[in-house]
Amino acid sequence: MSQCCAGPASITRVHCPDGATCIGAPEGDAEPRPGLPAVVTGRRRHLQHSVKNMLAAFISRVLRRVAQKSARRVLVASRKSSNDATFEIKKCDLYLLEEGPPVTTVLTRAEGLKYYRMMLTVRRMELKADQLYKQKFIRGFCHLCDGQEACCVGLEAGINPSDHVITSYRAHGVCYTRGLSVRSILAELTGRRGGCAKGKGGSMHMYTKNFYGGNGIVGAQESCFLLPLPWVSM
Amino acid sequence: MAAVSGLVRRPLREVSGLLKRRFHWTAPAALQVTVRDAINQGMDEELERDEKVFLLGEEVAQYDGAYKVSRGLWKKYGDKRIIDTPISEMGFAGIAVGAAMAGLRPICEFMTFNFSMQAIDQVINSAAKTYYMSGGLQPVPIVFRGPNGASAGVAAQHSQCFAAWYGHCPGLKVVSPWNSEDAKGLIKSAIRDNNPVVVLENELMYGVPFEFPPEAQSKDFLIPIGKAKIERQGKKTKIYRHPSILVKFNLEVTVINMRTIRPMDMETIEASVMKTNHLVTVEGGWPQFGVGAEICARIMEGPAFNFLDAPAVRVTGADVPMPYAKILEDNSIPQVKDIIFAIKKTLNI
Repeated sequence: MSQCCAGPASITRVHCPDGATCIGAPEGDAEPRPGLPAVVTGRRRHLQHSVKNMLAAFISRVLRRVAQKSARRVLVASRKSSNDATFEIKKCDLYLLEEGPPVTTVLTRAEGLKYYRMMLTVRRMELKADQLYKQKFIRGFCHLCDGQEACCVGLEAGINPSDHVITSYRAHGVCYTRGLSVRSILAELTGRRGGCAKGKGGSMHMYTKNFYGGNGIVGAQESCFLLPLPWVSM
Repeated sequence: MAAVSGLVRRPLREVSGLLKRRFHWTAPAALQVTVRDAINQGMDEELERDEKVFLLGEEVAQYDGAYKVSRGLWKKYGDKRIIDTPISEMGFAGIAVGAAMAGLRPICEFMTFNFSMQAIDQVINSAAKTYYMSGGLQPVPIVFRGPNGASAGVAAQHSQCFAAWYGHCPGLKVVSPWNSEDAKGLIKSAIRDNNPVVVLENELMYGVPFEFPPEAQSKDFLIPIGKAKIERQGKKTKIYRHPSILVKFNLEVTVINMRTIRPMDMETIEASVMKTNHLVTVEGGWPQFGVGAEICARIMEGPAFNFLDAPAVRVTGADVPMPYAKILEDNSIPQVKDIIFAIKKTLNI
């Protein structure tokens, strides 16, 4: 290939394959067109040559992209058929019930991504809370659940927003999955008025609709909630 | 000549100096002991003295105590005398009361007195009332101890003061030490007492060093339960229950450290009020039905009422569950400015 044609309308001193040193001489044209001076024909030849090359490059680029796209589409197409994951759940022993809980469940791609996003958000929030605690912006107790995000997200995946939830002191993740914003949780941890309990509760005492908080006393949440359940669910 | 006589005289002076020289005697430096170490010493001495004494609670053994108050005791006395319990206050308080009834002398540690609410049935119904209910047949020589009241930033469920709650119950003795001397003397008296005693310590005071007088270093140093101490004499009475703040005044103020909440030392308080004619009570708990309320009521019922020149004033914690935010928390416990305001109000200045 020739080294000429750096670009359209660029006049360069090149060495064309036909041996002639021409100024902007396009490739390919061995003979000058009759009637035109040699320099002019050389320039025109070079221009045609560069245009052709450009066109070739452009077409090859387009084709490559198209090929890639279709390659991707092909890949996606091959995954689409197994986009949902099916899980088997161990069958429960039943007592005085005809039907138990389902034995298989399906996780769609969209749901998986949603839960992953929730877990990542909880992780980032907890790591930040850890940092703030070490910098003494958060005082008193700070029980973190980085590493245990799957517990709160998995719980939320299995229940409805209208179900009631209570938990113990390791509550930040559950607060987030129950609907509190990261901003209101961190504001509460740092004792600000914008916190979910107006700064009066702290780490273990955050509440929202259908979420009855963390509890500072170990074991208090069981009696608080499990026992009145028959009356509450009526 | 003079020089020679000087030469002669000088050695004599030096000799006489030698003859006059005695041992250089300085007073020993005051021993500084933190409240934590004082309680540790007190328990250590009682554990050594009587083999029926044992300590049980959460993290008291291998962890050396949640606040390191029982540091070194497990290493010294072993598993049979220093017992780690699971997180079950109702359970281990019940076990401790049963052990006391059977003849042992347990020290039951609550990580904070907030958790004693889980076990309050055992403290009141099983421990406090038993000696009376049995007609004097069954004593319960148990000590319940632990930090009480507000700490730093631990919010509502971990900051309650239980002085008024336990002080309300007949059958219990309730003590509240302030400095290291109080802590050591009161814990020793509590362990030697044949009644259930509740020792309300303070977490913020654990690390504070105080001067330890020589008599407090003895193994038999006891502070009688039921006697208050006048920390400072002056012209006006102020009763501290938990003086973790030092107050400087231009006025002369008598400061009384109550030491015991139940049985309350009304004689000291009345004598002081009769001398100074004014009264301000300071406590960390909530105002309604609090220790200050009881003191005021008893002053009213006793001879000291006629000596009061102005109504007694109570300085207490705010009547709210302890908030978490620092600024709210600081304003929910008595501060120096509140005490000064109360004193000025009483004295009408």
